[in-house]
Amino acid sequence: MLEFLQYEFMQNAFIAAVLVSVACGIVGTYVVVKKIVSISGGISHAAFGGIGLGYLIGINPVIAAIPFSILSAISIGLINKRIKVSEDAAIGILWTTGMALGVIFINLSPGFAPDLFSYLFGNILTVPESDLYLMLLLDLIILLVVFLFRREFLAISFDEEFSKAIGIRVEFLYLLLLCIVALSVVVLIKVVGVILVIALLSIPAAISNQYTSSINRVMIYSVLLGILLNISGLLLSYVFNLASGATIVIVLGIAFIISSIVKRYW
Amino acid sequence: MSVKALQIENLYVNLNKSHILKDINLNVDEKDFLAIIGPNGGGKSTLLKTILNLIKPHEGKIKILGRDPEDALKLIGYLPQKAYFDLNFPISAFEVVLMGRYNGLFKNYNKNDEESVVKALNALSMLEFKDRQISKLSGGQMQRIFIARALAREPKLLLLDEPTASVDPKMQKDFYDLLMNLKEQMTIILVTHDVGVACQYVDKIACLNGNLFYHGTPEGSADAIQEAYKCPIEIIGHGIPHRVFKKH
Repeated sequence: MLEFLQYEFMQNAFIAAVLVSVACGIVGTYVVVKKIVSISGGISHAAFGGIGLGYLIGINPVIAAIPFSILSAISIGLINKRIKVSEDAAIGILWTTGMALGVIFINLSPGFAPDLFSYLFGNILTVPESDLYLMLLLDLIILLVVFLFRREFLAISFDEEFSKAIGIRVEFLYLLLLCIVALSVVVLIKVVGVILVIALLSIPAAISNQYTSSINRVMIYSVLLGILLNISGLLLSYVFNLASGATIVIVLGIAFIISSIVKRYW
Repeated sequence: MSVKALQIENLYVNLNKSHILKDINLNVDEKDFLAIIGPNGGGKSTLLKTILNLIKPHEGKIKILGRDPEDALKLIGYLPQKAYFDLNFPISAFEVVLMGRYNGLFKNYNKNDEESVVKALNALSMLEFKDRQISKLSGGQMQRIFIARALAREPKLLLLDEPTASVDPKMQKDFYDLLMNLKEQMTIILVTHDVGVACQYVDKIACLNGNLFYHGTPEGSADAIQEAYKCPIEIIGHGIPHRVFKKH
């Protein structure tokens, strides 16, 4: 029954599901508690510009997406703090400009962009081994930064004003947090694509947050829940031959509905 | 001459090109208990934020126990006017108060910090709630947690921005009794609208409406309060305006 595990692409898919869950569980917790879901959506869509750039200059689009999404994370943060425009508008501007750039870059690239669809909607069954190493590296960077700055991230997520009053450099740390979101977006691109990334960043943490009042536990539950739901989605997409990114998101959505009903009536 | 807890000279603060504070001169002695009163928009919170180095002054100088504001953050405990936070935030009362012990990048909280947190929670009779998630507390309890967060810093100067705005009279009295105890150990500056209640407890009053109208004992403050608020204020004593009684 488990013969599909012999396929290398299936083994890679399982490893990808775990690597993705670490990023989305840890970073997703901040995304949910600091209420930066829309900003994260903006960063992930803007990352498409980097993917287009990768096609244009002929390098791995996932690698090209790293500087691009970090740059867009910093831009969203700075536009909001420095220029008199609402965060809402800043997100909209970056979201669309980034995607438009991606389209133009792909237009300009010679030939045809064969797996473009997988960057938009993800395909966990086609993650090459080299991308797994990249995802592992980014996961390690995310874990290290979160470990080093966990006190500051917790403080600025909870109460920015008080954080300033105790000497935390709120603006710098907020930008650092957005950069971590950008890195996790890159980790997730191959699995669910830029358009669906936000589901993985928000749903596991939103479910976990219903059941515990400690941020550390929200993170741990989110990672475990992510692994469980991602692998369920992966298996369902394999069995029913459905698009894997979309199947994973549907599984997450259903899990959230069930969790909310259980929480409400149990 | 001993060092003043707070020394403000010729302070001007502009926000969005309008003058919020004009030529403020204020000296507060150590272990003084000062109430800052004045109408909304009079610059009370702005003054506290300038002391906390959250707002840069346009002109003038501030010294906290002889130090510049950026070097004095460790000496100050602060209770913001309103805490804007998400009620679903996964954090316990203990963890909120522990934030008051924050001491810089890469510095872990240690046993000492935890002891200070327990002490602060104890002082506000909130120790039994230490593991409660913040949203599972009542409004008054939450306020006490935020006061504990300010106290956990073991400050020399305690800045409170309308601490009794959302508490009932019984808790208000308990709160002022607590401040009377704390006053033995630290300087307290309190922004409030409860002029009458505050007058019974504090040593000094400062009336602020852009300018500093008055700084002195509560007894002499009636005219200045009226001047600052631009309307008659009945301070206390049921129908006898413009008289302030000390606590009997």
